[in-house]
Amino acid sequence: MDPVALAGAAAVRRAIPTGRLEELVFETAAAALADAGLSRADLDAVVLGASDELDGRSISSMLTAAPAGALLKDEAKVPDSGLHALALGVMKVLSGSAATVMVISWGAPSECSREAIQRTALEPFVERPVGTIDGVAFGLTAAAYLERHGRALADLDRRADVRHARVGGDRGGDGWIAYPLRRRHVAPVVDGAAAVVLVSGRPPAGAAPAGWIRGLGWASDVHAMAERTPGAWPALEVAAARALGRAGIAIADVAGYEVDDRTVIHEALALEGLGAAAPGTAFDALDGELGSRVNRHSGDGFAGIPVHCTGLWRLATVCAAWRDRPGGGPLLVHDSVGLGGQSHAVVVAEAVRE
Amino acid sequence: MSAAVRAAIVGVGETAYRTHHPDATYPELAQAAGLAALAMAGMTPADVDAVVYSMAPTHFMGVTDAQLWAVGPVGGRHKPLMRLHTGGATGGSAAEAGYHHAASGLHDCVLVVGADKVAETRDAQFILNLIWDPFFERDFALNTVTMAAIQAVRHMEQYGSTEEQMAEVAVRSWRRAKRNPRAHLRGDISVAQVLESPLMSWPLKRYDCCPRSSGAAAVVIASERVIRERGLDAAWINGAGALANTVFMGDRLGPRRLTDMGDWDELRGAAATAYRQAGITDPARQIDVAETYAPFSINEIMAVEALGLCAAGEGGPAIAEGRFDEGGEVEVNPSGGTLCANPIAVTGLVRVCDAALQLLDRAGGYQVPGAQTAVATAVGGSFQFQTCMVLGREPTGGKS
Repeated sequence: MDPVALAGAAAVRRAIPTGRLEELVFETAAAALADAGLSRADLDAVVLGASDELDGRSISSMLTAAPAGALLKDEAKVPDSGLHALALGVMKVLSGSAATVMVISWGAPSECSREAIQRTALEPFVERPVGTIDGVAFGLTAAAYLERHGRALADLDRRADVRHARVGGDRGGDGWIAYPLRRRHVAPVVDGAAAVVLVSGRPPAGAAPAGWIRGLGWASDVHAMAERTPGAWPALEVAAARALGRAGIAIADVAGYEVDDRTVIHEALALEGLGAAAPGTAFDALDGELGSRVNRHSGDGFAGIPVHCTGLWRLATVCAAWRDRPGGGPLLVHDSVGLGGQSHAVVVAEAVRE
Repeated sequence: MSAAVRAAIVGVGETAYRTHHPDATYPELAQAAGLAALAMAGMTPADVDAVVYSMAPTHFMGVTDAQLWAVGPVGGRHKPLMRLHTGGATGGSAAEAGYHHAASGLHDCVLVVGADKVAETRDAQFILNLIWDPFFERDFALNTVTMAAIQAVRHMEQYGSTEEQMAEVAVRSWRRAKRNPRAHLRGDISVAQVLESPLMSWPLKRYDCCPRSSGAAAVVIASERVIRERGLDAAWINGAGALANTVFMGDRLGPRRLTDMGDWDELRGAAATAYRQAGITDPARQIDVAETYAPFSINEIMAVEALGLCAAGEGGPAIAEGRFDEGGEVEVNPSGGTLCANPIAVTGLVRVCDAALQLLDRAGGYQVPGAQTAVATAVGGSFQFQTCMVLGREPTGGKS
């Protein structure tokens, strides 16, 4: 595909929430425009990646579209994730419908009970009473992975120790999430937002892109976990293959990985689904050279996962890093969403050359 | 339209629209529409390389992210699938996103599909009250009916539109819907019956308001390459526009307003984009069919004005005079429109379906003879989100 320029970006992560949601949205959008050297008047379209349930009101875009920059602009909301919203923004540019697009996503878990929301996503007659919310689904996924590949609980602990040492602070404790996952294996969630400004291959005057979107892919699996491949993410393999194919590169060309690492099992499954590690070997690979190429720019999720916008937040953070240090090879940016990682999105991004 | 790749609708599928579909689960409803659309296109789920899912607030069913249930039934397993949600405008936004999937050159065959079961809740307006600010607006009974009533009053004050003119819209919609086997409501009603029906929120009476519908809709959007290779009939997407406005209705009424709530300037703007792309310069002459998302009778009056089918303020008299009836210069809502079926998550997509059916000569009893150009609209939020898609029997612009 033709590359789409990342003209500007902004990423916000707040361990202690401040301000109203629309203020968070406005400040993030304004910062991305400032980084791009553009104004709201330059925007042709705005794509939101947000969840009504997390935002606490039906059709939350009624309130947030304008602070996102969409007043009297083309606007659409993609609730799946920030990276899914990015995909629509890229397609609007590639189709010629828009030359400059704001893509913005956020999540404010401080305002809601995420477990209550997760419960309402379950089928009401069988699944809800069983209670297979995210933590349980993560546990099932982790257990299946360990069983499938003959890995040990010690692998989870070892990786968690490395990551906690990296970020410092609270280690999460020994309390159970769902076997085999304990609190120390799971990242804390925080409020956050991210925005990127996309422009077509010929950026407008005044815009100095930080990087390029060279490829992207996204794919979903079925809802019922019992019908999926246990302990693996085949939908991610599909998404990654499409992203790499569109970028015209192979996995060996990838310089780094910015992946969903909200649990230690997410990190392993992500790297294996992307093709960075063979099935069952991610924990070993992370002990080696691969470990230094994972979330190098956006940092470890154990420092706090800005929910829903996680993937776009990582991409925006990468753009900021590129402003300071241009160059380097292509990166794969990944996010997973849905029960047990039902859906995935992958972006191939690369900095402008020095 | 200067798209990277031309794209068109090659298949349409819909279920019947009713209060309830007790015979089908939510995913089964979506699946039925998706398979019907693929069958019309002569395709199977294996031909689909991306799915766009049309799902507005899921709270009517009491389930969050219900589209995730439907991934398998609509053939989306291990395929790209994204949901669009712009409130009532969702179906229009989903159709436009499906277009962008194909026009970007990234996908050749896109299934746009969705379903809703609005009547799973006993009171849809209670749910629709939840779209408002929880601390102030919810408490004064703001919902879509009262919101539409405010618009109606504004239009009456500005242009002198009357309750009788709104009643004429309802009478015509119900009459046209008699020809549409999927319509939820249909029949012969009189202006007097409309005016005497129970008051919902002045000036809107029961017959001025849409029903709570359940059902599903889908379209298959294909790239020009696939269409030529397979020799498919096509309703070409020649224009697609959207516009969002502030949520605050007061900001659309006051002396410093940028737009006016009584004028549907959002639709006017979305249509301007779509018309420019499609080369429409004289809508009343160039458009043969308009399927407008008008959940309340006043909205059809506002829509024909915003689409440029008549001047501002002339919508009510023009409809009452029959200018948009069968045989008129432009036929508006030949399907019966949203007043006769409103499965909210897909209503905008239903408008696209009905517009495409006209160009594919598949509209059956409500076929407009010789229709060459059709327009479909959708509206959502506090009437703040509008979409407009222009379809044609022939492609205009773009790269082949």
